[in-house]
Amino acid sequence: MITLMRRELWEHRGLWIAPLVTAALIVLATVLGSSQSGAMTISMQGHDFLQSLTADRQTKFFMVFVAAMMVPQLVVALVVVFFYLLDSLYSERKDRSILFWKSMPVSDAATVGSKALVALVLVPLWVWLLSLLVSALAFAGIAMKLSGTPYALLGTWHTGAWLAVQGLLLSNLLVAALWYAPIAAALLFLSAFARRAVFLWAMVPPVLVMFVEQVAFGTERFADFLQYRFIGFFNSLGFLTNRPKLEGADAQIGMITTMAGKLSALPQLANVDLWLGLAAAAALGYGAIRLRRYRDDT
Amino acid sequence: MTTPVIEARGLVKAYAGDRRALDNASFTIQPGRIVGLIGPNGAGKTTALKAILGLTPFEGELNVLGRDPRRQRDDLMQDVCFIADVAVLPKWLRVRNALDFVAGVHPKFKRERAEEFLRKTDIRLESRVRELSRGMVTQLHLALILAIDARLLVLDEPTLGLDLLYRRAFYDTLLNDYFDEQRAILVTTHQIEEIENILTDVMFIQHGRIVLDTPVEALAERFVQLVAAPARLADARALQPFYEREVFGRTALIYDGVEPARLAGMGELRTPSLADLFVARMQGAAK
Repeated sequence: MITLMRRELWEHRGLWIAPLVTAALIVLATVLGSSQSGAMTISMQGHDFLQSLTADRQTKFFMVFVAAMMVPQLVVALVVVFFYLLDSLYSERKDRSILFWKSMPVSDAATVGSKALVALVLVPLWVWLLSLLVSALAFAGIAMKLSGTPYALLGTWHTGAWLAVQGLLLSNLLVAALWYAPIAAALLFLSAFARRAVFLWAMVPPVLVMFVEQVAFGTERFADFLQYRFIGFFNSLGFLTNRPKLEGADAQIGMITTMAGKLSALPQLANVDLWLGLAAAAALGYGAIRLRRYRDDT
Repeated sequence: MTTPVIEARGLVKAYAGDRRALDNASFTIQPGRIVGLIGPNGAGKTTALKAILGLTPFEGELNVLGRDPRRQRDDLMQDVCFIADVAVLPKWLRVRNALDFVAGVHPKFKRERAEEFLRKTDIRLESRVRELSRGMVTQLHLALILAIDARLLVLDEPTLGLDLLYRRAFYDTLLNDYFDEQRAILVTTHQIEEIENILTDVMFIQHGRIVLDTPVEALAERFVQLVAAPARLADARALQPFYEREVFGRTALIYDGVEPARLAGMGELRTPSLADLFVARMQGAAK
């Protein structure tokens, strides 16, 4: 299995390079970036802001900051993984290299499984490892700039909180892997299924279903379902909920500190939709394996 | 009595609309044989190979090294090697990683042996497949295969698109460094003349059926070609040749199972080449 997963990284180097480059850019931006930009946004709130910033709130501020450092890398990783999964069982048929892979004593289940593991476990773990480094370096960069300004308090480092957040992020990634497993399995299935234009197979049918539903019933259930499946995970973390526009620094800081309390995704394990999704993932994964076993178009 | 490497009984592969790629094909391949599976395009050669390799579903009875390729494929592939044609090694793969991969997944792979073979070539370990010529890609694939202690090697047009030097070297290497009494090789190719000398057995396949299955030694006993003296042509035809054609104004006739002595005096006798025989079988049967 290790060999199979290494093989994936040889072919799709973007899987590890893209998050690495993003990480480097984030660090670079905080170290070299306009030294005022961070402080500027805060200082718009002025004196008000500093008064509201208690020590406890500062810790929470710190936690949200550390967690947020991972977001750009996650977004990049999601895009890369999306294309990776769509391509993984498709291009091997297109360039006929599947005949070579299949000349080895490796089961189709192991092959498909290795691709799912790379997408759902290996890449997230890599992003997490990078974010350990990124959050520390980026924070150091910002703290350096804030020192000597009235906002120096924001540059206080909290090792305990940092570890706690990283632990949370790691568990979140694992929960996210479970939540996104059906999407990954659906992409693998399409990848094994499409005879050509695999990207269109991934895009056109959902859009068509949405369109037909809209015209025929005037509803958007399918669109809602997809949205729920794609970003429902973040919704419950309090990132994307429709937040009311808050007036005043106190309320805004309050919102951020509330977010700090909602950082864990573990409660989602109680969501039955997550487990239903896993069942769907198992079915789609099985379908992908069957398709790869007997699809005969080389 | 040795256990056959492949035993096929009544293989059928049907497609939609009554088209059959395999139509009740039966054959047996023993260890220590090099079998050429020869047929025109679309005769079912590749389908037969795919059935043996468990790459396609089919009906009928098929036993490869004691296993059913439909149900025990992953296990079976430990003892079977396969070269489709030169194009199937992925272009992005590095030579070094190709060795890493096979070493990682194949319990019967001896890496040192593959590296030793590669040292005799111009292939560098850091090259990617896309940087290699077609001939070198085949050499690389051959290096991987030679280092696997398998019992059946299946080759589907392995030398397609290679120049004569590479083709010759390919088969020489197979004979000298790979083949032995325990192993069997099954090969399909259109370049019949080139493998004629290395085959121990030939099978002709046509419309999904095996129309000829014989050891090469037996060919000379069974088939004879007569270039008839014009005066004796009628006599020669009376002995029921299954194929005849005009060559330089004279008539060449091919017989199956006719005593050469009975043809004596009717013209020049010789054993038909495999290519002659192939054309004769395919066109003769079509008439």
